[in-house]
Parts: sequence; C-alpha cells; structure tokens
Amino acid sequence: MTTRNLLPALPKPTGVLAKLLPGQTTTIPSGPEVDTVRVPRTERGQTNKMRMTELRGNLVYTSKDVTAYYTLAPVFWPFRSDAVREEVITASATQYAALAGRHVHVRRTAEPFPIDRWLREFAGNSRPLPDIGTHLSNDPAGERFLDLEQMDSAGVLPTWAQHLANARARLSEDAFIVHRTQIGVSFPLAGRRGHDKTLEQIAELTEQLSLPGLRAQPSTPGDMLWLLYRSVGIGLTPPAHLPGDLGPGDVVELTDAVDMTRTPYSSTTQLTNRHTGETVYATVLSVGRMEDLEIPQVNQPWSHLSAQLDYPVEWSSRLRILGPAMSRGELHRRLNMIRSQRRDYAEHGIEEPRELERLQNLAAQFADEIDTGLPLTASRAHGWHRLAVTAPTADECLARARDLTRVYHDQLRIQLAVPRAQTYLLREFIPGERPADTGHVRRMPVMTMAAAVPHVTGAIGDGRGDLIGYTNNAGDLPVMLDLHHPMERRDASGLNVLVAEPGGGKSTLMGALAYLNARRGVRCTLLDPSGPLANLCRMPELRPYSHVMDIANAAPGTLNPYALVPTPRRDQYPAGADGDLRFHRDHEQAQGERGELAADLCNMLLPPQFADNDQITQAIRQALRQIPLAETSQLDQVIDLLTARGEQDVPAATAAGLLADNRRWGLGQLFFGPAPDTTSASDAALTVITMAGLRLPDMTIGREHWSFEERLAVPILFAAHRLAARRCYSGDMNARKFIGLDEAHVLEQWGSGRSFQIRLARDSRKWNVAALLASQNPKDILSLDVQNLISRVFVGRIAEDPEIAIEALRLLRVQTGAGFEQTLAGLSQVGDDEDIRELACREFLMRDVNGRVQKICVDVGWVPGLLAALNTRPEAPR
Amino acid sequence: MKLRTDDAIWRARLVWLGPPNYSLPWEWPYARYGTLIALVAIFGGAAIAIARGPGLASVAVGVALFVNAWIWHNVDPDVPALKVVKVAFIDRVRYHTPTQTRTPRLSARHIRFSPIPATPTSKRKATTR
Repeated sequence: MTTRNLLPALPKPTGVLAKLLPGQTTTIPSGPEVDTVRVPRTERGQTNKMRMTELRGNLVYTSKDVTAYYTLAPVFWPFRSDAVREEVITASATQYAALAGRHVHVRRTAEPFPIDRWLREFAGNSRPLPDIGTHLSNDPAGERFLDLEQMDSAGVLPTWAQHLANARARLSEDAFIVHRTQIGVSFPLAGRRGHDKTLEQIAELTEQLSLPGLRAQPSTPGDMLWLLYRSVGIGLTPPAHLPGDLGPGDVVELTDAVDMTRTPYSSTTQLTNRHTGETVYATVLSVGRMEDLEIPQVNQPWSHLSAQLDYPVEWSSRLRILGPAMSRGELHRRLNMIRSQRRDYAEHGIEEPRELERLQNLAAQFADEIDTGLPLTASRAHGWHRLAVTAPTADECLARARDLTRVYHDQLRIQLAVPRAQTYLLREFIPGERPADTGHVRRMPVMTMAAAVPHVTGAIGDGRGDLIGYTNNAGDLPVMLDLHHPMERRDASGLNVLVAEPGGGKSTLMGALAYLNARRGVRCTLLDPSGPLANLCRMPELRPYSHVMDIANAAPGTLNPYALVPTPRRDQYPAGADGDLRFHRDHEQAQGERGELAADLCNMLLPPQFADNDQITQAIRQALRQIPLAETSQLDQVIDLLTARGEQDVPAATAAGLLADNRRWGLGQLFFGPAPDTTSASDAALTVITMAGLRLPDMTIGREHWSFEERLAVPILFAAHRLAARRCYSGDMNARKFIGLDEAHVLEQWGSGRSFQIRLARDSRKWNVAALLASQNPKDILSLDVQNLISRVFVGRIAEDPEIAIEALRLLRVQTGAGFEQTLAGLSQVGDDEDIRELACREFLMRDVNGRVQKICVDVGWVPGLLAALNTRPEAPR
Repeated sequence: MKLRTDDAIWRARLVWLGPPNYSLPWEWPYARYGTLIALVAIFGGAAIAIARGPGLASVAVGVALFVNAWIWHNVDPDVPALKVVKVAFIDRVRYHTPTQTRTPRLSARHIRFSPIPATPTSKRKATTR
C-alpha cells in the first residue's frame, strides 16, 4: 500500500549539529510517494476501529459528530496578582459558558522539552569563538600546553561542539517536560446542509475561543499529529519529526505501531511500540470527590497541580456544558427528589438522615443561583476528568499513581481513584472516542471548571539563548536567556538589573552570563571591583580571547574623564539629513556628558570638608568651562588654569592645590595626563576590569570619616564604570556587546552617574548593548527612575532587611504584602553547618522581557570548570 | 474565589422505604429494585429455557438476589451499578486468559484525510462581493 506522506523534509544538520543530531531526518520519510509500515495480516490480530472516520485540519469526524480542536495559549501564573488570576479564570469561564449544549474534550499532553529544536536555533543564533585547539601551537609561552593536552587526551577539550554537547546532556539528564493543552468542541453531524451550518458555527467558535481567557487557536496539523500519537501511544517516546501537513501514512504509522496488553482486573495497561520495542505501563486515574477550593488565593489551579510533578501526567476531561435552562431542569429534578425523600421519611414516621436537610438547603441555594444568577454562574460542566501516568515498569507506574493521589489529596483535598477497565479508560484520551463509562462523573459550575486552568505555564526566558538554569517553582523547566533578545526581537531596552545581598549570587550570575556570552562571540566587559571574576580569563577556552585590566596597576591617565566618553563617528550613522541630525545631537550630548563627568570627578577628588564650599566648586566650574570638551583634554589643564587664576583668586588657588594633591598618589594619577592608547583598544571577547586591593568605603558612613584611600576608591570605581562602558561604544554598532557592572550604586549618587545609566538604557538598542547593573540595594536602581527601560530583573536572596525586600518586589513589579517577601528571604538558603559553595545552584526571582516573574535556579554546573572559576569566596588557609 | 462542585446533592441516598403505611425492614435505593427485576428476568428466563418449565424459578431468584447483592456491594456514588456490571464483563469475562492478553489493536486505516474545508462565512463574503 502506498500513501502520500506530506511531511516536509527536515533541513539536514550541518557542522557540529550534524554530530549532535544524528539520524534526525530518517524517522519519517519525506517525499511524494512512500511505503507506509504494513503489518502482515497474520500479525495484526484483532483490531478495533477508532471512532474517528475523517480528519480535516483541526476537525475530527466520527459517524455522528465533528469535533474542532484548538490549542490553548499558555497562561503564565506564578507571582501574578490574585486580581489578574481571577480575571483569567472568569474570562475562561465565560468562554466555557458560551459552549452551552456542546460536548467538550479538554486534553493536556506532556511532551519532552524539544532539545534539538532549541539546540538548532541556539547554534544558529551564535557566532562562537574559534576553538582553542587552533591555538595550541601558537602559544609562545607554552604554559597552556599541559592543561589542554590533558583535556584533549581525556576527550573533554572545551570546544564549541563540546559546549553544545554538554548543554544537550544537561537537558537530557533532567528530562524536562512541557505541556500542551487542546480543547475539542463537538457538533452533531446532520446531512450536507447541516454540515455547512456546522462549519459556520465552527467559524464563530474559532473567533470566540481566540479571546482572552482560553486564547485558543485552531490546532495545526503538527498539533493534531502530536495529539493523536500521544493519545494512542500514551507515554511512548514520540517520533522525532517536525510538524507538517498530516497524511494517512503518518497516522497509520503512529497508531498501528502501538500494542496494548493487560491482565484481568489490572490497574495498568502495557503499551508497546512494535517498531522500537519500547514498553511503558499506563494507569488512568479518575477525579473523585472534591472539597471546596479557594483559587487563586489559597489553592493553585486544580488541573495544573499534576503538571508540576517530575513525571509526565496526561489529562483528559470529557465534558458536557449545560446552559442555565438545562442546569435548572437537572437541579430542580434533583431538589424535588430530595424533598420527596424527606416526605417519605415523614410519612413512614422514620427519622430522616440529617444529611437530607443539609442537601436540600444546598440544592435550594444552587437552584437560587441558577434561577437568579447570570449565565456565567448558572452554567454547569458535567463530565469526567481522567489523568494518566506512565512508567517503564508496572510497579513504578503504580507508585506514581499513588504519589499523584497523595499529592492531590494533600494539596487540594481531591480524591483520585483508579477505576477498573483501564484499557477502555485509555481510549477516552483519543480524539473522537466516547467516555468509557458513567462512573466518577463530576458536576460543577463552569467557574470551578475554568479554575482548573490546564494551560498554566511557569516557563520563563526567551527559549533561544544560553541555558542558564531551570525554574524552581512548581514544575521544572529549563531557562534559556539571550541577553540580546529584547533589542533584536522585541525592540526593547537591553538594561538588566541584578540585586542581591552579599553572598546572594550576584558574581555567580554575572560571571556565568559573561562566560556563556563570550563563548557565543558576544564582546563582553565586566567591571568586578573585587576581582575574582578575572578567573574567567584563565579558563583555557577563553584565555586566548580575554584580557584582565587591573585599574590599580593601570597607566596614568587611564581614567581621564574626557577620554572616558567616546566621540560618535559620522560613519556610525546612516547617510542623509536624518543621520546628520542624529550624529550632531549625539556629538553634543557626548560633549555635555564629558563636562558633567569631569565636574563630578573633580568634586569627588576634593576632600569632604571642601566639597561643599561654594567658592571652591565655583572656581572649578569656571575652569572647566574654559577647557574644550574633547577626548584629548585632561584634568591637568584644569589645575593649570586654576593655578594661573590663583594669583588673584584664593579659592582657585586652594582648588588647584587640592586637586593637585591627588596627582601625587599613584592611584590619583589615573585621572591625570593623557589617556593611554590601550584604554579602549582591546578587542578581546572578554575583558574583566578589576580593582584588586582597592578598599571601597562603607557608604553608610559619612565621607568625612573615610580614609584617603577609601575616598579615592569612589571616583576610581565611578570612572571605571565609564571605562567599561567605553568599550561598548566603539566598533560596529550592530555587533552584540555585553557589559556587566558591579557595585552600580556609586553611579546613583552623582548626576553624571545617573545620566550615564539612563543613557546606557536608552542607547542599548541603538548599540545592541546588553547591560547588567548589579547592586545590593534595589533603591539604587529605583531612584534612577529607569524602571520603564529595564528589560529584565534578577533578585537574589534578601533576608536581612524587609524594607529592601519590598523595594525588590517593586522592582520585579510583584504585589507586596502578599507573602512574596518570604520567598526572597528563602532564596539560596543553606543550613547553619552547610557551605553555600556546595549549593547546586543559586536561586533568583527573575522578571523577563514579557513581565513574567518566576523563581529560577541558576545552574551552570554543566560547563566544566565554570563553577570553580566563579567561586568568589576566599579559601581558608591550608 | 470560593469554588465548589454540585456533587454533594448527587450523593444524597434516595431509598424506597416501602408502600404507604408499611415500612420495609431494609432501605434499598430505587435503582436496586430495578436491577433486581432485571436480574430476575434474565436468570428466570435462562432457567425456564434450561429446565423447559418453572422448575428452577426459585434457584433463578436466589441467584438474582445474590448477584444483585454483589453488584450493590460494589456500588458507591462514583461507581454506578451499570459500571460494576460492565467491569465484570469487560475486565474479566471478555479477556479471561490467566496470562497477559493483548487487547484489540486500535486501527486507524479507515480514516480519510481531506483538506481543511473553507468556512461558509468566507464563501458568503465572496458571493456578497
């Protein structure tokens, strides 16, 4: 038998991907005419026809009805306000209520995270550094040879291909599960004319379901293919192929390959893929008695709970939606039966069970709701809710079923039962099939049904960048982060903010992002005042492409404020009048910034008792005005001018003397003299600017109590931030750049610092710069008034000060006073006798570019040697 | 948002206490009388067919009573009597081999595939134009 297979051919992987994705295109043959897998008649055994008779796009036909399937858009749930969550539930309930009279099939499938798809996109989105193997023979010092040769012989040479393979192995190891929810709405079939009318109704339904709430779109052929396969072969490994047009060969191949076996009265059914020999056991559970729920305030969506477990759980709800009229009829019948029963007891003179009176009152209350309420409160959803768990062995499958039952009982007080006739219950998961039996029917208002919210997701990140960890809140999912995603895809700013207490993991995250981005060819600059991140530059794979700049030992003039602000070049702007205008505007802005920076630095260099002296600051201002605002200017010119005026002007002479005092000290010389050529010329993929040995003052203590060294450390740190950013404003505007600035709080205290941060946020899109500002206090960032320009926020552990925790939640745009402060205090917790270095990962709350907030675990342990390089804690002396 | 189901009122135990002015010593649900009548009819019919007369009628009633008791022993608000009977048949009787049994394979070979139908709405728009 030959059938037409319409699946498109996959592009053949090339390069390193070819090794990582072997046999990718061989699973389902493509092309116009292919032989489908045929089972010899003798092997076929007894067969049962599926009720489905025809498949047209998202429409599943049986002999009696047609069901239109839609895929629901995921709804993000964690850390959202209760008001927003209630809005989602109410909107979904309204859509369910509008389906009155229809049979509905809600189906949630669990699928493995598409590692290969991510890997393909990630690799295509990267411009990796050349592998270090090519540099083995070019190292004149020969100091790297031993390490690399050892690695090479061990087969772990840190090449780009190995980097991808490590990421793939990490993702495979955790077997992350993603969920897809589909809803099918059935219409009865009634002749050709009736069919046209049905299609009209389906078109209306499509429009109706696309509204907020369910936000459903007609299922694609790929979705249908997946749904069919996952329903027939629950728990079996899906074939590796991309979605395409659905053809007969596809379905026959998927369904006919599955054998189901069972033992009498067994609680499991064995499914076997005859092509691969894979075997799984499946158990179907039915939702039983449900207690009252308070969603979202106390309980989570009752369907979503099953999606948070670390094994796949399939969900199928077969429902009949009853409108107010039908609900009223059913309920009144029931109410009358209860009344009649009570009357019977009275007539027979037998004491009635107490529950009857209670149930009559309850029924009367429901009847009142239905009689007088809106359609939303009056509509009902009657039906069956089934869950299927699978495992490689029957014992494990039953253990999972027990675990699922326990979780539902403990967390939601919902009873799950394992009914008999498991094979028939499994068929219920298949589109077009009927409910298996009448047991465990649940009757509930549509609002309760909508509160199941099966399409909830906790996924965060952009799904196309580096693997930085996984979500750590109600169901694990990998977190991928491309720092340039906001600029390149979303037209948003590239400003990222990182806030945590000391030891909260700031350096770990910043260093990890720098490493991962440098490997992908992003030009990275880190300002790490304390210096441990310089270890990254010693990693074999980065060493040829990295550079450490120690400010404390830098050449005089390195922090010359005039040279720290780059002059825009005309060739960086488009030709034409508009380009001219933008160039001149930026040119003038750069000059203004230069003047402001020089003024602020002069002020910082003055001793605190003179910093507020109006005459001295006025004299410095006057001198600064006379100096050209060019990159070649120097602070020495200020001193010269003040000295010249000092013969008649005492404050000018004092100012000249005070500024010149700084020039006598080694570190003070960094601000004076011409900037060396090497200041911003480094083209290294990773540059780490450190200030080793420099002691930063305690900002809570007044300046007058700082030592001279501490006083000098502040302007040095301040100027170092500008030096780090200077690298981003040279070269190709579109080239990807990353800048990580630690101790960003010093910027907030000075006008030029604030304007620098605002400019960094605004320029990030134009220059394709992703900036990460790290600070210990969220107030430093909030006071800048750049919240609208922040794309992502990372907040680490904040346990000591509740006020800071509240500010951090404001930064995340999370409701305060709702208990999330405790979440911040509980991040990256270790016991009293534990070492924080032994933590497998560092926890953060992350807000992404879409405004979603989630608890994530930054885990870069899959990169060999990275955690050791990022260890910023001092070792105890041995 | 407080949410609940309507299940409680469907769990009410509705029993037939007996004819007016006489209370039966047992309290059976209405449906139990129905299943008993059905079982008596089935077993009685079978007994008459086997014995070619009413000779085994009392045995048939006894068996019906026993089977009815067994069915209702397994019934609860979530497992109706029909399901108990169905499970007894499909889970034990139909596949009665002591070892694992392959259930009939699901066949999709009869399914037809057609392109997605154009919605009448779009057709109507075209004709209006």
